[in-house]
Amino acid sequence: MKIRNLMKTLSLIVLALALAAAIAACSGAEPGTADAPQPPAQAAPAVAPAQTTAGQAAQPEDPAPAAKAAPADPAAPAPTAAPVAETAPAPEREVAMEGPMIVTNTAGKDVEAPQYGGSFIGGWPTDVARCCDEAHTSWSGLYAVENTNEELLSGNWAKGSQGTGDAAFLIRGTLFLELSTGELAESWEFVDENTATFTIRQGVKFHNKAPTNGREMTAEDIVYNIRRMFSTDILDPNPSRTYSLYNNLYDSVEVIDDNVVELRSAPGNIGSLFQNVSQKLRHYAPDAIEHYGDLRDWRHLVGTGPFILEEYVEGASFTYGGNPDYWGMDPLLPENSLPYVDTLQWLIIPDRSTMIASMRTGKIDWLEAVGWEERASLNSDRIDLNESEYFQGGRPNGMVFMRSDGPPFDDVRIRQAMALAIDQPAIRDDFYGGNAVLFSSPVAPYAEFLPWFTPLDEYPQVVQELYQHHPDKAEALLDEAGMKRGSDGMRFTAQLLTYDGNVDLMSILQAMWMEIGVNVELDVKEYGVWRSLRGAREYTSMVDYGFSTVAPYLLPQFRPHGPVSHQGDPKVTEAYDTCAANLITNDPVCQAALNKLYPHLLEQSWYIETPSPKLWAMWQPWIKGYGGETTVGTDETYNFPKYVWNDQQLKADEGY
Amino acid sequence: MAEATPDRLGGIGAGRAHRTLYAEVVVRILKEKHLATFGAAVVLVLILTSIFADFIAQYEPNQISLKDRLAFPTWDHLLGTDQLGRDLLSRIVYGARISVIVGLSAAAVDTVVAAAIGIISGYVGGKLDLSVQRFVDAWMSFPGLVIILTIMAVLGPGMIQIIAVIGVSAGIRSSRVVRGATISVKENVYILAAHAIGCSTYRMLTYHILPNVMAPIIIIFTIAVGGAILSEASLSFLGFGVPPPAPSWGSMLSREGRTYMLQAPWLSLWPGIALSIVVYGVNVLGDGLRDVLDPRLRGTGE
Amino acid sequence: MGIYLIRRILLIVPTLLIVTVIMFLLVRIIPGSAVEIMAAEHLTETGEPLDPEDVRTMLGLDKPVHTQYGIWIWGVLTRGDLGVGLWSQNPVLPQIVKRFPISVELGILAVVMSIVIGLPIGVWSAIRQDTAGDYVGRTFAIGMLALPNFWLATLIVVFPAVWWGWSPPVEYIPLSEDWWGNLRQFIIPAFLMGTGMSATTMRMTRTMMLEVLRQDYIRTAWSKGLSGAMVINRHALKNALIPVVTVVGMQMPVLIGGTVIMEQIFVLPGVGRLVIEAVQGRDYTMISGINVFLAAFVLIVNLIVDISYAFLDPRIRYS
Repeated sequence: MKIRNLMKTLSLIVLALALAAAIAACSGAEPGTADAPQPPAQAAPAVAPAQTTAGQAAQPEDPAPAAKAAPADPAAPAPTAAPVAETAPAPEREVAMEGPMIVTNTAGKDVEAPQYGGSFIGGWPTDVARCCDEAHTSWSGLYAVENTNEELLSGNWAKGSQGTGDAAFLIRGTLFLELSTGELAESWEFVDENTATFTIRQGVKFHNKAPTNGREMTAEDIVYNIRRMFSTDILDPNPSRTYSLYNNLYDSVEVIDDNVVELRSAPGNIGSLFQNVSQKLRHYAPDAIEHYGDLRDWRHLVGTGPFILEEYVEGASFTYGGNPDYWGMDPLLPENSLPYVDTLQWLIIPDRSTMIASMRTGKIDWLEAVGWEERASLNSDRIDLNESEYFQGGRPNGMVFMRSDGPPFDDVRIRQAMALAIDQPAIRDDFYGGNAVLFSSPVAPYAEFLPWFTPLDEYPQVVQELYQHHPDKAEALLDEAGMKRGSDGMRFTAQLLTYDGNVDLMSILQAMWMEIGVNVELDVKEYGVWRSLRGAREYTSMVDYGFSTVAPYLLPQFRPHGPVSHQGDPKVTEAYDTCAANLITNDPVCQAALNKLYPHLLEQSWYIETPSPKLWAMWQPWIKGYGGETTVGTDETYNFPKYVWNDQQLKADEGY
Repeated sequence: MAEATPDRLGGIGAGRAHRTLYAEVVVRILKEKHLATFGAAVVLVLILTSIFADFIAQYEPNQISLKDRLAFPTWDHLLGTDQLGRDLLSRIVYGARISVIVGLSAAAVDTVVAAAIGIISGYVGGKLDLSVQRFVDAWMSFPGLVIILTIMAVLGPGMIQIIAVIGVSAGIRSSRVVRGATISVKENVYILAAHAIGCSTYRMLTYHILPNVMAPIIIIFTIAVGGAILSEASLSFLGFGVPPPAPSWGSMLSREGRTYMLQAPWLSLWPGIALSIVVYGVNVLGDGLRDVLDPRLRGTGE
Repeated sequence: MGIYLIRRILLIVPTLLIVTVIMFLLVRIIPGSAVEIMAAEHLTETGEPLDPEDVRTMLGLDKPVHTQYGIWIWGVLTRGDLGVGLWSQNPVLPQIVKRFPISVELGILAVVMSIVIGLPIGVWSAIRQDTAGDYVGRTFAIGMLALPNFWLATLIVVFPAVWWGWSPPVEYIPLSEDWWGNLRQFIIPAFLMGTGMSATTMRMTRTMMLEVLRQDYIRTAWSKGLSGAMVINRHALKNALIPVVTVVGMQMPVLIGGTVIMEQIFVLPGVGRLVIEAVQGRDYTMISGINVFLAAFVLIVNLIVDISYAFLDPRIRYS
């Protein structure tokens, strides 16, 4: 009996402790809101005022991503988005504000004079696959060499947030030539419809390590790399998918003058080939390739980039040192050589809780793809974090595609009914707390793509309705299509292939379809399996998909052999062919063809687009000269660290 | 409260002659083993909850209500709601059902595999025993979670796969214990006597060996229940648990529980408490049973 | 003794062979759909469709099973070649070897932790049998077993960061570079794993202590008037410890399995992370390579434990 009593007391104590912990935790997370925390309503309006403080080029479209933080204007207190602005501005900030040296950059902005030294530490959720040779690597493998090996062309940093603000540089995808600048090429020229030339930059040196030992790069080196990428015999059983897809575009490449390289394409394909060669292909030291056979061992990696890979601990980290012989100058402050920081580090942190905690405690300087709830959590005690808002241009999921090659979804009325049943505004407001964009396809409304983007209200009524909630119309359409409710109130059953990470959203859709009498069964797979099955089109009727909402990237998805399409629509094919023939060389033609296609594309309702959740790139207050860019160029993800600098004094003052 | 326990124990194929022994075990546990009694009560509550989930739960476990997402516990939602506004109490209650199914089924598979391998290998002996034991050796040398993950990677996630994988994997391991018991029973005079009068092997195994190795088998079963529930939770963390949106405690804890630990700690608190109490209860019950049933340890327990 | 040793070592050989056979068959019974998944994976990775039959050829599944096994085991035995990663085409063994020490270090530290926690509680529970202290101690140990350690780990990662601005280190520091920094990184996951294991250690210690405390020589020691601490330390504990050591050794497989979760949360690039990556990427060569490697390691550790057991305990005579 005694022991029973003891146990009772014990369990009571444990319960009490647990409750106390819970209460402490709640109040910690949401100061000021005693119970039911509802960040949605409070967090939403924060974006607009932040934009104005940032003093940047006006972003006309509401859904356009806006870099909110203002490293360019250090005197302004960090714009606050959280509802807790007044709780804890770190007092140390004032010390740091005493007298930063102000200089005017080439875009006419007054900015704090950059300082050299310190480090930049970013967080990555996964290790790259197959470092470090482009001929053998995968997409993610390229992230590791982004700062060591350079391309012919790159994004023009002076058009980014710190400069004119014409480009957001937030997504990997197509970058237009007017936003590009020469990297290893000083200039380029289209000679005819099959030929382009590059004038190679002089005085660029390879990393000062064996076997190049800092020798100067030549036009021959460029040609060597291009030929290597298009030569089929070097590709191992896992060819880099970047190039295997484009081999049919390529014809030849030659050095035609001291430092001029001529690139020839298969007839009429110079635009696509130019884009792939100039903006996607990184250049490696031929000496190293010849010496080692390939550069799959990170120790063998030699390039011309701003950083030199010093250590790669598999599954843990990439550590780079600054390249003292780097040719590049800061395009905004041309007297400053790059890079500013001494050390660049990517830490691989697979667990999300650990990642957020590391950001909170300053163990990493930079983190991208922060969700709205993670952001609210971080802002609850780290309001000094800088951030830029965006939404994914290439969505991994959240677009439900319906198989249109058989019943029931070969009937456009049924596809439209499925879309009309979805309460899009409710998902945006309640599930994402308002932090989502209703309409972001087929082209995402990024600064770069605004000319390609048509706002929803300029589309025909029928398209607009697909993004609203019209269950009555949905039911009428289904009745009309012969899908009447049965005795159990159900019309028909469909299967939706999704994966464990996106079940929440899909469950919401499922409940909404249930309302109109459509029973959608979720076929929940594990991520890798889902990705493979959807790629191989191995699904019964519906699939949770995503695609890049970046203009000319979009259309392959709808080609008869694309990963999603089951329709081979003639209008889509026509627009695709027009674009493929005019890409880069004649963008407006492609643009016109696409703009003509879009109403048809959306009206066909081949896919249901759920609201695109907003994301944030966040960085510590001591990382300066930066506005949240992630991809300065077409395909150069994470190549921005050379432009940013670390205010080590501020970091020390803040106690990190 | 605890009256149902004898049925549960007696249900595991015990011979008629042993009924009284099991009644005695129950009495001893109730009288002497207070922790084990607590454990038995927990198990009972768990089973009742899972059977009557439909009556206890106020809401459907997957009923979404976006307006009420992440609500702090109130009268409408006694334990609060999760990120889709689903009632946590209802999910915990239905989660009990999944835990019971996974826990009991995996433990049953475990026990059957352990008994089959252990008794046959121990009873037949000789070359068969030697080779079976090398197989068991080999199996035991695979790190537990790693081999389970490996098989899950081959089979793909799903409740049946989880039960089979956890059960078989643990069963091969625990067959050692049954084998040991079988060998020691085999040496007994009455077995030799049974042999002498020409009992068939089948009869020997079912009437003479099995009842006498029942004690370790029951212990294996109770301990396996807790182990299986915990394994499911670990698999959930690694993305191989019972697939969502099924309200398994493991996935509530490892998915939304971890994601919203700061904003809504109750999301992980309740499934955490439920899981811990059940695993704790099952474990102390197993301990108590072992103390009572295992003659070697008799008297060394509480 | 010598004969025992030789027998014990020889017994490992068939076991290891069975390990390879199990692993080999396990990976080969991949259902058809998995082969299709891999074909699809190839499509996603390269943009080129791939015939499922080609995947079978790629995996060597088109040959008869015994031929496949022969080729594979020949490579393992003669060159220590566990194959190349299905997608990376990099040899599997060097990757495992590179990451393995991290998991071992974590495992050893966890064992130490479990002893540090479990042993005193076990001894205490035994001496104070059936008192409140006994109950509290045992409740603690079993309670720690009942808490999923990924949940405790998340608590440690999430809350101190908010309350005190502290979070666990995320940059892996090799032991050879800075042992203190390395230790700081390993200590928390080791502690969490250790607490989970300590339940077993505690139970074993307690049972063994209870048994030993009833022995005649302990009674003699008491009657000689030796102090309590003296009896417990010099006589009882020493004798109770031997089987405890064995049990701790036997937990090795459980332990290596447990590192999978801890390495994920505490950012340790050990073999557990490799397992997760391989499983998620369906890299079957890597998966079977890791399993065979770890099984061999576990077998060797068990061998060492067995042998040291024989040396430690004079009562045991093997024939």
